Amino acid sequence: MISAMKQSPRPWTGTGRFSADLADRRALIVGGTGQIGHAAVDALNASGFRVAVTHRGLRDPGGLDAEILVLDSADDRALRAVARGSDLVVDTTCFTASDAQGLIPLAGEVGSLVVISTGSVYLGDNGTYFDIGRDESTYPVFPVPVTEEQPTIPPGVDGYGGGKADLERALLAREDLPVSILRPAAIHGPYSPRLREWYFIKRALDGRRHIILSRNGESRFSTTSTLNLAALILACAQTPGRRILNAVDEEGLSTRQIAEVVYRLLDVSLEVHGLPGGPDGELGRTPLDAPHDFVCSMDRAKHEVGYQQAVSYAEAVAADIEWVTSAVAEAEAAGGNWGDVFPSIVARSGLEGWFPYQVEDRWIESLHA
Amino acid sequence: MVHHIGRLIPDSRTVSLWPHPFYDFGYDAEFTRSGGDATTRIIRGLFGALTLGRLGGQARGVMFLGQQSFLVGRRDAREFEFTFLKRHGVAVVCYFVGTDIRSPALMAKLRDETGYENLGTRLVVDEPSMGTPAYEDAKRRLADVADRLADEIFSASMDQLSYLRRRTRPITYFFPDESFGGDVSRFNSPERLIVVHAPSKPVLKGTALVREVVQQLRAEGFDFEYRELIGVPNSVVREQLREAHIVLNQFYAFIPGVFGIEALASGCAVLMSADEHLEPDLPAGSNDAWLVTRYDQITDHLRFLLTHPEQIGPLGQRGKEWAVENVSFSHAGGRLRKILDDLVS
Repeated sequence: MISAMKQSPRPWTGTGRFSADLADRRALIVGGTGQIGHAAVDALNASGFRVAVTHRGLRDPGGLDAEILVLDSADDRALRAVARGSDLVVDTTCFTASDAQGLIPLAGEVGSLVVISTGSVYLGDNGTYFDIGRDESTYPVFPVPVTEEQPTIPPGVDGYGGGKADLERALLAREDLPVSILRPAAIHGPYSPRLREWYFIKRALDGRRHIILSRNGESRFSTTSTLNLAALILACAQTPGRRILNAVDEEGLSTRQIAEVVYRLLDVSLEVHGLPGGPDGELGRTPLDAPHDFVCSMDRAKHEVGYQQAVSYAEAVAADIEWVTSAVAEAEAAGGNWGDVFPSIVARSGLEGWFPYQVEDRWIESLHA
Repeated sequence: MVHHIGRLIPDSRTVSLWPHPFYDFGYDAEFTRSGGDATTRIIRGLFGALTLGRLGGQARGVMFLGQQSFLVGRRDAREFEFTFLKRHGVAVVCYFVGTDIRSPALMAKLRDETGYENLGTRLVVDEPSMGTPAYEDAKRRLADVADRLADEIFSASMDQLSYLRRRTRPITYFFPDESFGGDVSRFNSPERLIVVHAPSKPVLKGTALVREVVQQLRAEGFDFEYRELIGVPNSVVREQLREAHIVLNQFYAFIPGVFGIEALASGCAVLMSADEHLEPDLPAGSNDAWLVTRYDQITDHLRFLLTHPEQIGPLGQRGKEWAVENVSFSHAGGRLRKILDDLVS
């Protein structure tokens, strides 16, 4: 079932014909009310697309400048009906090969399809992958940088990365489907449900001058700004084809450099204390910590679709900071706290999990004792 | 736990010299007479000695769960019976599960380092005799005998800080696959959330704090049903867990404990102080399976879940998946059997 929450002059129904008129291009974002959707809507609007987003109707879609359609993406028939004739369909809701079945019939009915996959599909050279690599000994080891040629998790393996790898294979098995599969890494942006940069932002806002980082702050895990991801989506829309592309911020900063960017933007002094090895209990345990570097290459995106990074990491984080400070202020004004902005962080780590200030203070005091 | 481990190890025999307050399993050799009178003590002593003699001739290995001994009258931290068994080619395994090996003095030092109370410091509040030098000496001797004579030792290195010098294997729990349960549909728009707390020993589990938290949150306007189970049979507890949405387990320990495992296996969203960052013997990623909650965080974290009920079901699901992977018979049992088989082969 589909319901349109906002009337438009021309109803959003498939016509079976793509538009040659740039002013008449239509983009549909499936699952478009999250962080990727917000960024993609803005980028596509700016580029002249007429944009619609679908969502399940479970939450307020927020101030999106798009037509809002309430639709469960698992309803293949309904999805096909609204997608038909779109110049671009972006799907953020696919996780497994069976999810691909709803998109495959779009071959010949849409100009370009972009599906958000993940860097978690990659198989480390040591045979492990992110779904199972939870500690120092099992963390996957990758070459630096990781290209799209890196092997992926084999078929039929359960888990987030395994499911996405199967999804990719299912989509690419259909040779007439013009699908661009994008593999982001640690996504960040306004409306993020789990903004990893919040680890540093909150500390800076709390005036915490000292930060303790494992691996001397040198570990690197690629980040993906939703603004840059949106730029890549646009590039793929303008060059329909069948491809897999990494989707990361090109800087590939270390955790120390990320901390420095955040603190500089917030104009707070920073003193970094490096632990030589991995985290020590609660100390040095950042959400971007990686026993082995995971840095992805964007060369293929540049070469195949002429991708150009839209914003620097610092510019992207400035947008993150603007959004999160406003969102947290709103939550606090309503009697809540930052946990209301990031309930999934709290559900997994508790209110102090990312911020064990007392433990850190004792450790820092011990340095001076 | 004796019963569950017995089920996991083919051709094993379970022995119990003391009736359990909460569980009603049968054992292969069981002394059920209770009481501290002289006659009972003598009969128990004979029972233990005879059982030891028989096993010495039959078993390839004996696993001692806790600090129990066959020769109940001796005060030698099991040195004689360990020596006896080893002389007969029987492997000795020590499986320490908490108060048996834990040193309150060492845990007090940990409290001084971290600034937070822990289970060891609470023990002394509950039972002051555990804070005496004589008690520490007894723990020292128990650890020393195990270090010298046990072929394998299982313990929890931080939650059960002790005088053991040898590297120990992590303890785990073993929960029957068929006992996993709890209908996930109970999380779909429940009429009223059910919060359960079932402390075996209220002073150690943080019950007083839990009661204050419940009162405070109700005063704040949160509406939920609070069920406190004390001194009830385990069968009743397990029934309640299948209905519960949130479980307030224990808030001083670094590992889940048996009730924590039962709650996870029932798919409940569990709040407890078990923390892989404090207890390195917990598998990596464990902190995702429950909401790590120290005794001073109960209010904030329970308030959080009541404010964000959409997080409760997924948290319960993660906990259940963790329990399947780490404590179910089908997963954990095989790992234990391998360790023991390698020991006696």
